[in-house]
Amino acid sequence: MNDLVYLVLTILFFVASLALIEGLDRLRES
Amino acid sequence: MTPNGILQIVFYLLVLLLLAKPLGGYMARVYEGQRTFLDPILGPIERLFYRLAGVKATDEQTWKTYAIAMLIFNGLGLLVVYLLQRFQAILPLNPQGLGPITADSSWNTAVSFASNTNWQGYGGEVTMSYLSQMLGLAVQNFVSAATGMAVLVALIRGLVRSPSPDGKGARGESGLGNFWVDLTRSTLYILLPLSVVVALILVSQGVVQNFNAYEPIALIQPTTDADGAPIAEQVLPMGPAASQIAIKQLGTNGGGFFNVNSAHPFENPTPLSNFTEMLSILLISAALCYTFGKMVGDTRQGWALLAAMTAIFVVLVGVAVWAEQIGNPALTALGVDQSITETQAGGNMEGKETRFGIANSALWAAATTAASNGSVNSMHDSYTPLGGLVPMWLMQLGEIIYGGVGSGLYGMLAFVIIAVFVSGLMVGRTPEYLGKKIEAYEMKMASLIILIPVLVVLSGTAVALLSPAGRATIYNPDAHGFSEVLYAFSSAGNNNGSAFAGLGANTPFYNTALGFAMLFARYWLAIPTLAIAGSLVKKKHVPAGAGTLPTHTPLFIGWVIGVIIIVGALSFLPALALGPIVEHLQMIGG
Repeated sequence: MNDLVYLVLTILFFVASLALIEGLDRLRES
Repeated sequence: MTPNGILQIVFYLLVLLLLAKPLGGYMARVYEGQRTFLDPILGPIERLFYRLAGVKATDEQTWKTYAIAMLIFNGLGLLVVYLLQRFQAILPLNPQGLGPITADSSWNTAVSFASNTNWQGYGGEVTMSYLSQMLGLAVQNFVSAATGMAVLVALIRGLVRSPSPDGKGARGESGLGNFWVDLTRSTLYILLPLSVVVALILVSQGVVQNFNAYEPIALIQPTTDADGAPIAEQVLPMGPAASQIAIKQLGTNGGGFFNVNSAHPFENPTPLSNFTEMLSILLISAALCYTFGKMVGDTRQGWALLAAMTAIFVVLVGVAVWAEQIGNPALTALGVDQSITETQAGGNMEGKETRFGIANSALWAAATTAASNGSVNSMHDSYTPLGGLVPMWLMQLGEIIYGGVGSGLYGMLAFVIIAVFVSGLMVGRTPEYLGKKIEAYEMKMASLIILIPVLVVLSGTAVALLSPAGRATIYNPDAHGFSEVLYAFSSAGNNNGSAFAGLGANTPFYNTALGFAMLFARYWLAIPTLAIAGSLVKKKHVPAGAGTLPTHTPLFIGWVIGVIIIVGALSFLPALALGPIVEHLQMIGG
């Protein structure tokens, strides 16, 4: 159970990081 | 401060600065793809890796592709380290039969080593199998360091390269290099050869390097435990320590093979091993300044940054050694002799090894927190309040005084961008750095790089202090308990890894909270750094004119130091006032 929680938390962080990359790129183009 | 102590610190700095040029020049050749003396041996291995991984070395990446490659590689590394710990009981190279590590501790350690922090909530010799240490932790020591160096090199290319007349970058559209190539070349040509040399020096000094089971030995002087039971035997930990310690120092990782890190005689037995390890902590980060100067075509730029770092470092080393050498006046009032004599070091020796003394302990404490290393040869929790404030503040400045390999210099360049921008505002001229215009976007990214760790550290400390789970394992009362929590989040939130050990941090709360602090501090700084690189690489070089601010002069060095100190002081002074400053006032007030 704990393993699953940490797996989900890690995936969420990396998805948020990908969103940050996309967001910063759009900010530059705006 | 004793003449002996001053001499040792001066000698250390001299050797460090003398090595910066040859090593920095070599690293510039590695990153510019030029031939080096190691090419005949390592060239075929490098090409084999590319063939196996399907990497085309000449392919250029945009900042987004570069950042995504970095994230994927680090994410997978994190997963591997996590699984190794969870399954170590059924995996080989585990002569002590150590069991699986809990989920929260495994996750914290996996994040910690992938992010180049090496915060350790566990004791190595009673927790980690040799396989977990080698395949998990030591491998991450190499590749996390190489990741930081790769991001720095991409930023330097952003400053150096210009778009071609058709609007495309010099080597493909907005190319910043190739993450896989930079990662491979950093590891193969820089970290690996240096690690072999350092590991051999350490083995020659008695650092253990074997796969033996732990060895029980009979005590020469048997003793009794607290309950009066006789103790006639001691168990000596073994393992492949030297190879891991070499890279833990060179890669500014810092994670100890044994629980007490480099205070352990099997990790750091002699003054020579101590000097070698201490030199290794700052060696690559200092030399990268010269690499930077070489790659931007003006070595004065690199020397200027190195001078700014060294100026701050020297002052703070001086404060730490002074504070530890004068000791605790409350003890003097009780009649304790804290003076230096032929038979004692004097000052505050609590938590310090007698074989290293005050100067080499305080110098290490400053070096390990100036760099994002975090290894220790003395216990920072036992330092005087001001002696402990120095390592804490060095971390809070953002790990840019030499800093982590790669990450230190790209953090410093964020401060340079702020300094250039503010000075441009003062004279009413568009700011430039190395011929590239610094505009609103670069300023926003630099602000993120500086403010994210501040937010992580201060909000993390506040949450820990407000929550019962955070307060439950603060074992020291009052101001020092606060200092321990602030230190923990300053360490994780700047990817250092050292600790005020009085805090019980191996709990689900701290493992998770500090894990997130490490993740944000590492990747949410690397991403805006690459974004700056991506923006700069699309800008043309502006020729230097009469109004251009020279960025290699003493004036500019002083200006950068001022910006660093002002930002550091404004961000953390209130928090420091509640912790180490109050402790100091309580101490001198008796």
